Amino acid sequence: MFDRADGAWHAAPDLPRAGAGGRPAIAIGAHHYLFLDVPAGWELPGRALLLDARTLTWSAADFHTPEHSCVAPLGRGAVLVSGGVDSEGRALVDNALVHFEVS
Amino acid sequence: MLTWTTRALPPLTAGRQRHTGVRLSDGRVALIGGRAGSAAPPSDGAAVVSLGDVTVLDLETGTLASWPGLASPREGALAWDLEGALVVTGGMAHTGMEPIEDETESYGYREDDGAARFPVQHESRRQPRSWGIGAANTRVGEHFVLSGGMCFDAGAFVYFSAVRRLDPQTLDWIACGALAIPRYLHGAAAVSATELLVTGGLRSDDDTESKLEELDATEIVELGGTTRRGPPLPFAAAEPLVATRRRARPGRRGLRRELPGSGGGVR
Repeated sequence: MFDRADGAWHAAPDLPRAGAGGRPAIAIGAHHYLFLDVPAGWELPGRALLLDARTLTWSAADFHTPEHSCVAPLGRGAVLVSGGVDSEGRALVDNALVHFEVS
Repeated sequence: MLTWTTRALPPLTAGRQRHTGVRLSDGRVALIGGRAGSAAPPSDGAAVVSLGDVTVLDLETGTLASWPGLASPREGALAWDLEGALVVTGGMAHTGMEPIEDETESYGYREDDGAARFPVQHESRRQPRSWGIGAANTRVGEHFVLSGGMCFDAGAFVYFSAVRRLDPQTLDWIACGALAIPRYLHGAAAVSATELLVTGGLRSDDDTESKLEELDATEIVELGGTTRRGPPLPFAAAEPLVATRRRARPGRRGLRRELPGSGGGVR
């Protein structure tokens, strides 16, 4: 993030992955929403959290997407995961279609 | 229990990050803006260029098509498809070292013989210092709703609490609620036709972001009504974070957590 006060770039929360969310919620069926890569701590891997909108209760799942990737909800539990960076910071070209279900 | 299956699709023509994807009414996906190249924050401000191009991926045929680009290149934008019009707002641009100050662009599109006529119209509205970057976009009933956000203004970080809905005819954003805790980079979902659940995100108690807090508090905003506390996330709140003044390296966030009684050890 560029700080005009001192004219330098600083480490700071970055779009869109950092923070708890910054990703669109994914509707699965009529009653569930999936939030991807919700951090439980700054340098800990994010986790996927499933919300039951009827009871407003959460459950966690071990699903991850590349940092700074694009997640586009497509409806009916499907998402496009596009690009991002790998663990070395290299930009990715991968596109993948992921289909979620709740049983 | 959550289960999932994954299918590889044709790759992008070049590495890209921080772009925005939105499903169009015909089922294709528009990939908007973003950033080319590696993840490293620039050491001199010259290495990072925000992109303004729009690529459309046809999931059925596996083909990629280029559409005319945005008027304002940006990364981390928010986008909606209004069945014939693509609306893009927010995000930031590195070339100018400034956030896109809430400029909303609208492009109409249509298809003739499989060839995109895009844009057929272009409109732009600006609503400065209203949501900046890191706001959340959510479909709530019939409304396209935008909540929270953050901008950097006159040397200070400003966090937003407003909840607004888009008037698709005028491209104006109409206030329809407020978060109890201003935040950005949060998640949001509709839990009913009129209620928005907002979860997590970041905020700071001062305007310098010297201490960032990861929020586990959630809120439920009734559009046009009140805001109440929602269900907390299923893990403990994180400790406040201290932004280092080091420049980040690839693959690292460049932030550390102060350990209790340690004077700030690095995790």
